[in-house]
Amino acid sequence: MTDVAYVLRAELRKLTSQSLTRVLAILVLIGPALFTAMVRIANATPGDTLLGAWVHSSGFAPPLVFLAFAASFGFPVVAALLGGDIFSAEDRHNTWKNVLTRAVDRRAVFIGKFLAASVYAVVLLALGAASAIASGVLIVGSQPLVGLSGQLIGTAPAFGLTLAAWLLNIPPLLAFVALGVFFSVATRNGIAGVLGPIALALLMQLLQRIGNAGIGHQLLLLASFDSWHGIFTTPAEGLPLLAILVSLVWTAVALGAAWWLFSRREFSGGTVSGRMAGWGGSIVLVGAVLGVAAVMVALCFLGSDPITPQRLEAELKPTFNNLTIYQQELLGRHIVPGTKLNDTSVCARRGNALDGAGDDWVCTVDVLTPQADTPNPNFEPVDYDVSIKVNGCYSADGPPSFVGNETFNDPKGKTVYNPLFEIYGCFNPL
Amino acid sequence: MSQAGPATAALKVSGLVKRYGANTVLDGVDLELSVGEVRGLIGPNGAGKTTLLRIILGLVMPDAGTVTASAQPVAGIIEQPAFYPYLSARANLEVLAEYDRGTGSDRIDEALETVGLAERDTDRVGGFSSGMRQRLGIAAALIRQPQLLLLDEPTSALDPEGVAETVALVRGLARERGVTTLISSHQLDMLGDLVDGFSRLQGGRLSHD
Repeated sequence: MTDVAYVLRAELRKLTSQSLTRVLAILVLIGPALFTAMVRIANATPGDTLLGAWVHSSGFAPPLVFLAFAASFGFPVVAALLGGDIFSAEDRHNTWKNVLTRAVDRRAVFIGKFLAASVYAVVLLALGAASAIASGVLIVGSQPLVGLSGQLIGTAPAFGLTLAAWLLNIPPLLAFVALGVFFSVATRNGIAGVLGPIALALLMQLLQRIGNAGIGHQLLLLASFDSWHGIFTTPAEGLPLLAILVSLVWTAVALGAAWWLFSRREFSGGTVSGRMAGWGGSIVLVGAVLGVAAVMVALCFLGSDPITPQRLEAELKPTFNNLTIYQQELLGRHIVPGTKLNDTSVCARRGNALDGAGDDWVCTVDVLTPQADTPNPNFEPVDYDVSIKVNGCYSADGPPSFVGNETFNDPKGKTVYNPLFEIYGCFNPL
Repeated sequence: MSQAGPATAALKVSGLVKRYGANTVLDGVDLELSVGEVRGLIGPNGAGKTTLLRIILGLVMPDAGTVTASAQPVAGIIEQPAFYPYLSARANLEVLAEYDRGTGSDRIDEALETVGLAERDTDRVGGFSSGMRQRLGIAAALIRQPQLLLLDEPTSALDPEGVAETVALVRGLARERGVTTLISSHQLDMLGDLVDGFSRLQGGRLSHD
């Protein structure tokens, strides 16, 4: 065994012996199952979330709805709890003098500690994925899933894609662990170590509401948690290399800075001697964090906005067509594959802005409607209010007089969700 | 300032300098210990005794000078021994043995027996008294089978009985196993029964007798 392996084993033993990490394991195990069961029992539809409309239609929707929630808040918190205290805990317990006077060197201690937090984080993610998918399939069923382009995804591919979606969250999860390690090393304080990455995640969430949808937003680490959207669209995107690369760069920078501090640190007991200790060190740390924040804000305005009327029209049209076909099939009407049930769509913003994310888009879709007194179908213009985010995910509300109620009964009398009631979809804005 | 060194040096410290800002804590310290020697390190509070021990252990980097420890492995107890309070005494030693590449795990039973904690091995350290922690600290050092032992105020938190036990333990390690020991303390009467000689640290400089 290598020195790193010995440290990894020791650190995992410490992690698994703590109440907090045990509670985390229990939460990620029962959380998804509890969510699915409650949605089912309460017959509630979280229709205002991505894929939330389908939680009663396919067992693969609940794990993805839960994943979207976990990615925006849960994963950064879990990573911060694990990485943000793994170094500072030694300061709190005054045990560095035990660890660093043994046979293994500092490099092995540093790598072993990061690996231990990472391994535990990945195990928690795997537990969450297993619980979410198993509970979804057991409680709701293994029906096909409606994808983010309105296409129907069969059971086997839906299972594989759902599993892949969870796995694609590993790179940004590990990057947040690395951020936790950096704050833990730099501040030597468990609270600051945990709160640092969470504060950065909150800042990134705020930044998702400003600027344009260009490359800059994709460089924010939090955006990497959304990379799984691409595998649920048509045409499906391959491996999200940009998101993985962004996660790797954040991980490398955070770990590099943490190692720079840790390798130079002096463990002199009560004497303030470390490079980041004292007021001077605190000012440097706060300055560095503010500098990173300023860079992130600047990134949000980088380049031109790729969300244009033409782009939205091109994305909305096939999605609407797919969902209309699905709606007709739910109603028991056979539609020939490849049929076009809408003709054109024209999108524009109500406000002054011409492009970009916002909730003031209106898209007019010419929808094919059968006429009772003539064999020739008629195209009827229907206005959809569209709200779109910088990550390329949108929701579109149609007029109730046209789209009907949220649910209707299929030919067998079963209540099903109306696919056109509110349309959710995603596309890669880049 | 250099001490006349014995033929076989277990520890050799040469020209050690350490400054914290404008304060020079160690100003050209030289020290040499022969194999099996037990040396007392004395000096007023703030003289730099703990800093010297931390430098020898690699916890603090000197501004100048060298430390050569021929006797390996080195173990030390600096100030109050500290452990993970949520782990048992045995689990703490097992974790420390991992940091020693797994060596020493087969000596845990013996070490716990030696320091009188065998009956409390599964108790969480969070509930231990200072004296029990001190004894566990010695057990943590023992599982390394050290050839060079650095002790910083090892008896400060102990009752008279504990002091006597510790003195007997250190004497046994030195006499029976040839462990070279550098022991810092204010309790000169205790050191007098234990050490082969003294080194006094004052004003950043070390003098020997």
